[in-house]
Amino acid sequence: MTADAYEMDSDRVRDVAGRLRATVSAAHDISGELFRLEFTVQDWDVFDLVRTPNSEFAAEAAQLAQILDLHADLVDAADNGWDMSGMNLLGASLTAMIAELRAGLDDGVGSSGNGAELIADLEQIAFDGDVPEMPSGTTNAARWYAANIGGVMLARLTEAQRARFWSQSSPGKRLQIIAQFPGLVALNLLAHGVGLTADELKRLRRANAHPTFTDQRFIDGEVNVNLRVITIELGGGLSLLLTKMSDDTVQMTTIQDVRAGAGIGFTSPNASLSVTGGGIFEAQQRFVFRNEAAAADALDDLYAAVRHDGTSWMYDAHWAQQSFGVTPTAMLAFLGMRAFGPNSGSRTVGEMNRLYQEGGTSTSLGLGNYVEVEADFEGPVGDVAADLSAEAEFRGRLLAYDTDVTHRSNIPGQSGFIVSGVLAGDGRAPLLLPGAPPWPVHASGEIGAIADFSRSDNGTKQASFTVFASGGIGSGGGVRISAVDFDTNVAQYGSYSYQLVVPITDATEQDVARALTDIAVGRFPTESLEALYDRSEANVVVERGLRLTGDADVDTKVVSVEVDSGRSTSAVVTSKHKLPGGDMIDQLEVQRIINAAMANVD
Amino acid sequence: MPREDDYLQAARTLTRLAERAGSVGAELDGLRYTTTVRGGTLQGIVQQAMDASYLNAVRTVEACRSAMQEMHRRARLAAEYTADIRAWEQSVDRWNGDRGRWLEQLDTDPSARGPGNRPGRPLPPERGIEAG
Repeated sequence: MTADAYEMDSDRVRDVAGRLRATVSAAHDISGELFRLEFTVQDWDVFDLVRTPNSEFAAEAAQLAQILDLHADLVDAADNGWDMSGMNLLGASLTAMIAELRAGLDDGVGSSGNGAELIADLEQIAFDGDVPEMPSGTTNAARWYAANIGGVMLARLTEAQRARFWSQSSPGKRLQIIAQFPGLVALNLLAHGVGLTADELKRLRRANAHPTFTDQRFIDGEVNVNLRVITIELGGGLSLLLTKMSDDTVQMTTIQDVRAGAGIGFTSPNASLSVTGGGIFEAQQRFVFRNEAAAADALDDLYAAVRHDGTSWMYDAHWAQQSFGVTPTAMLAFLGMRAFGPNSGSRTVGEMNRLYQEGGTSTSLGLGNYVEVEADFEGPVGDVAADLSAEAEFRGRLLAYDTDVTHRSNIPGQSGFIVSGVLAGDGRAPLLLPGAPPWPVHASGEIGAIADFSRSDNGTKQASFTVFASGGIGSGGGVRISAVDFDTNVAQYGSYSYQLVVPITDATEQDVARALTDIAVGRFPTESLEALYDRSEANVVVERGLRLTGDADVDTKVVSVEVDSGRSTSAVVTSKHKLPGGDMIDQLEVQRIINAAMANVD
Repeated sequence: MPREDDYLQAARTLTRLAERAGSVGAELDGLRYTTTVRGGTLQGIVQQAMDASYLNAVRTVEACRSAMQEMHRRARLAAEYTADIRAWEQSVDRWNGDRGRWLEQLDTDPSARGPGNRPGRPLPPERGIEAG
């Protein structure tokens, strides 16, 4: 409840004055006891530290009680239609008493009730007397205060105390607390009627930014050359992920990878199994755009560049084929044109560079290894599914990476390595409904885990562990044109991901060591895992959406070419976030509170 | 002069006073968040005075607690001083006995060795502290 939630009537004001007088009486009793104690211990100075605040309290609370009584008299007089001369007399007395009380408060003896004193008192309450001290050499005092004290204050104080803490805090500290603890500010202040300025609300919205909608597009090509026993694989892909954030910004991530490997395969009439491994190179760029329109403009520019480059390639290929037929000479001519011809440059690369200048936040380059185990089955399964085709695939990766950031990034650059494993499966079979033609049904799902161990440029280390699962069901179909098999599928899908980010510090290293010791002696490491969880950051995201995929395959005995592409759009239905030492906070709920407050301000 | 019991009694009284001041502080803590009067200027000074009164009550509690610790410290010193005085009194008694025997010995043996100086009374550890 805030102090200005309501005004009291004169009876209640008199009641407060009466209660104040009771406390003044207690203070006088304390003074009397102190007087007797001084004689008992024969020391007339030892209780000065008690007497001073107690006497101040007694004097000022008595004055305040008088003022409240007089105020109540004045309110009653006004309500009862007193004449102005009587009112003025009461008003003058009140003014004189207020001046006297103000002088007493500002006399430098005892407390004056100023903001610094109040905050110091609330800090003592929140930390139970053990308030952390700012280390010497701290460069940003407000940031340190928010991280080490402000967040704890919002979490531990009572509703009224939090409101008072907020009203007495400096604007700089408030902004830092907003930036670091948007969930607490929204849930523990805004939701309880504590007002924020329009600027603070905007910053709160930005600090609580979380994904609301994602749009992912990808294309991946792969050429396999069968050399009797082994298969050589060359592949590469492009992926574009657009994420709309709750603060209207749009983040874009582009991923390009190329891979080369070798594998072996086994086939039977209905099934096949292959194992492939090799090296992979991956490049990632991240961008941030201020809103959807800016992101759409950027995409338009990028697609125009891709179309231009594609046309240019097609033109050169057509020219080579027309000039030299389908011959090695034509290939050389084509490559020569691409390298030195009038359209040899890449508008796509130029456009990407321009966009990166405008909105790039980070570039990441990674090098590593991959392994894929793929099993396929095609054929009848008893009477249940006459034409079942199923595929299961495991993809494992170990990738070392280095990330450079621009000034737009809110996190420092980092390097590290990622280990990931994904188990994916899908199956399709015609659904036989009475009186209806067979309906091709396609179901797919995957589960996976990613571990990322990184060291940032500012020296901090962390490990993040992500587990995820997704599943979808839909329908699709295939067609064969010439020697190419085309297949498309549309599906509704849902996904869940849980991420735990553990800072690597002395404390967490001890927890890890404790967990390993527990495991070594056959005990489940409950305590150490709880401690690790408490010191970690966690994110939970649940999405639901639509996925459209298509692939085209050409398969000869020696060479097979496969191109997969797709697009998925999904809405984020759950987004939760936990800071180290805090509780899991529902960011969508926080957003609703912020939106409601912003609507009132607007 | 105050003795151990006096200091212990003072400490007990201070504990009671701290509780009393704590109740006052709790009452003020409730009032300061709920008292709202008409008029911006008046509300400001009422709020400030409520806060100041609450903080003064809190400081009174803290001061009572530290004074109580001081009384306990003095009680401990007084107890130690009392033990020192008891030991001194016993050593004086022994010395008196030794001296009586030495005086009797002098009648037969003029060269008998004396009991030495009379043991000195221990000084109070601090001004104003008395043995019980």
